[in-house]
Amino acid sequence: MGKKVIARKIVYDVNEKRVISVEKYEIILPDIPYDENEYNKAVYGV
Amino acid sequence: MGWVTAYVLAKKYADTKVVQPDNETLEAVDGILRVKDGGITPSKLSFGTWEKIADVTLSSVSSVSITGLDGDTDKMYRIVIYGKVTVTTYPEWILLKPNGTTISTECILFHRRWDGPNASASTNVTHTTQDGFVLLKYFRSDLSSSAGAVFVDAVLNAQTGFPRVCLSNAFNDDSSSEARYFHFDIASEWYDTTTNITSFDISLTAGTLDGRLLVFKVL
Repeated sequence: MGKKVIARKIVYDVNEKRVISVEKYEIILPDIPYDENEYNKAVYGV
Repeated sequence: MGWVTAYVLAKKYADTKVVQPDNETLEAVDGILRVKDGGITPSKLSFGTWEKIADVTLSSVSSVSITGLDGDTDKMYRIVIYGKVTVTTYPEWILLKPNGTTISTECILFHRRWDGPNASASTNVTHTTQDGFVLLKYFRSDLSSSAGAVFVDAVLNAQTGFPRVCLSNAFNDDSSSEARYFHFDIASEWYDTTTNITSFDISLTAGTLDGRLLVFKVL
């Protein structure tokens, strides 16, 4: 499953001082249950 | 016309404006000459300063490309990001990729968490290799709740002739039941000394960002 969200890729040009393009696309953020051991491993690298 | 004369005239005629040789505009306010605000630009400040070159509102954004840059001319960039990140996995990274390409950086992360309501304070130092300059290593344990706050203030030396180094001072909260707060000092190095940086992408390895991105160059 997972969470479906609309994501955007933005291009900003500093010479034109504006956003020159926006691309929208769909991404799915996976549902991963919280596991304290895995989390601590990620945090502490152990 | 001497400045004393100009001052006397300005005092006498409140709407008198005098232009100095370096094009700063003076105006008379209540009989006193002063530099008109609009006449001051960062380039006129001899001690150097940051000039904002990009200001982007982020709404469910996975990446932002900043184009039209010239690292050799601009020399240094400052990147500020604040807002919220939505992810469902951890850790995720906010990376800066010069010229939109994947690079290999060596980076050292010092990250610290300190007491939350149910967490104990701790520190940790790690070393890793990433696909870009690291702005933030994002942690979040309560992946089912709403997005967590982030703040990044990073400086990148962009000039060729030197290894490019990015220093990031960053924060993220982990609003889980343990309410941990992470503060990072991150140093990343790109050994390339010859490729001019003409753009860069700032992206999240997974998830989306809401908030604001500011980019400055040094003058």
